[in-house]
Amino acid sequence: MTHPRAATIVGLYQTRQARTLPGRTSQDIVIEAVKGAIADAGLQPRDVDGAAIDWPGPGGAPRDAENWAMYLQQPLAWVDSHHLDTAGVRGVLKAAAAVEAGLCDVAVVGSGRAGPFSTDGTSPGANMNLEFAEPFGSFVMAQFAVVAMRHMHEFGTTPEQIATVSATIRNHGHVNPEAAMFGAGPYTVADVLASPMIASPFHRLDCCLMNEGGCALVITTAERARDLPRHPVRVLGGGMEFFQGNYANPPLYRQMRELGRKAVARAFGRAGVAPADIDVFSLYDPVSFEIIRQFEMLGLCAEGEGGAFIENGRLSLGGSCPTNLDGGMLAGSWTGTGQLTLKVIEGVRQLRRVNEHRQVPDAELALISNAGSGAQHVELMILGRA
Amino acid sequence: MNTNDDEFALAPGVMPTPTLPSISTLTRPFWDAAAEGCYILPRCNACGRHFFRPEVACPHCFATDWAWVPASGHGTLYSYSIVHKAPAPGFAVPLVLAVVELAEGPCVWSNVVGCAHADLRIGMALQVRFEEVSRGVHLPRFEPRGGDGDARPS
Repeated sequence: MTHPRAATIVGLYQTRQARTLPGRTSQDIVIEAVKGAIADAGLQPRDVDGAAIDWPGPGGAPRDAENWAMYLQQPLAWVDSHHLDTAGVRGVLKAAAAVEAGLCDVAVVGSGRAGPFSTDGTSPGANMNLEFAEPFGSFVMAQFAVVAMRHMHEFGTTPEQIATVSATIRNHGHVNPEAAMFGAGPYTVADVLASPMIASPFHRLDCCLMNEGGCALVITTAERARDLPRHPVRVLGGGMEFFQGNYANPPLYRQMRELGRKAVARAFGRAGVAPADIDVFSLYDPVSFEIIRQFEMLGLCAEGEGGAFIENGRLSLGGSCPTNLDGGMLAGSWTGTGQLTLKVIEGVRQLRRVNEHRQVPDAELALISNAGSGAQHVELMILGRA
Repeated sequence: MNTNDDEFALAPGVMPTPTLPSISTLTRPFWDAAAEGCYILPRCNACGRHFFRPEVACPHCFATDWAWVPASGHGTLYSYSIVHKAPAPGFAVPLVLAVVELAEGPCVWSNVVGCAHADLRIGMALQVRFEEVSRGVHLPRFEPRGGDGDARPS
């Protein structure tokens, strides 16, 4: 029996995702996403009393979700404002907790980015003190790379296996009209390995995009969802794990091998299902290797066997672990924080069963993950079709 | 090439860095020692363990009583990536971004220099080599350690 206040995702919207969106600003992209998600839920702005929505400005304190009371036309009952709380698994889990606790009844989570990157201030690393990292040439892809290199050293994971992930997910984006890289490719493993090296073992096609776009979600109670038009999708369980602040100290594989395992146990324990029950995976893919590590984290294969696990079409539609059928961040979109939310949106759409040619038949359970080993934190969530 | 100082020139063979450390009161002793050719680390007076980067409190035991102590400058290569895309204009690529496991315990970011890429081996013995990258700023990079310590996988 579902609790009447059980957190339920009832609305979603993503703007166009593209390398650039000429003429657009972050503020108007977020507004489009928020309006769109509320409309998708069959609600009006004044129905929303909780906001974990980025506020790029102009006007008001940048980032403060309180600013949204102006557009939502009432004082807000609950807000969250950190750039990682206005997006993705972390944002949805906090909004879900707020809804279930009765702090608010209808919450929106959303963010977006457009316009010149350098003046936007949305880069999570913009204000970090990386005194003992950056002078040596450290950057995000290279931080993920040292984890992958150690995994290859310890277990013999091959460049071809890593490239298989890239080719598979990029080919999902190849056929998704909403992906920023729609139409690009298709790619073979050889194509990935022939693309320029960025930071070994990662070639350009192993690395996620950087682009513009916005997206938002609406979360409410199971009771309220009954009167709304979309098929409800429940937040069944979640887990988060933060090893340390990211990018200052090196991610060590011997520590990262454990990262996420407690979050997995917490999320699946709460949901009352097992990783083997998941029908569709929407996993964080800042680089291709992270997919391999996450299947090990989930316990769907033994540590060190992730490279072999993803072979033979397992990640494709029709495989036993269909993964990132929207093209993920490798071919779909990465906008700073919006990609965190797009992971959730893809899971919700699969459970609404509206994805047509990339739909997993009869999908009941979806696993959503954010972040990863290089960033030294993991958030994940299990969604279920009501 | 010049960095921030028109009169400063890198010594031959020294890799440039366009991203200089943002030195604070907390971290100043490390860079001052580096300029003297000394590799020092914070060591906790409560639990006796070394740590890095410098922090107000010991990450092992939360004590705030710690001191800078001389370190061996020895370590092993825990992992690395050969960076081909310059993270900022002015880096000379390819460069070796390394995670060095120091003999005293902490793992730190650095570069491996003086070693052909084909000879890089995880587990290889390394020793610190300070390189002046801007006037008075000496970066602790690492090179293969001599004796029989060359390129031995862990």
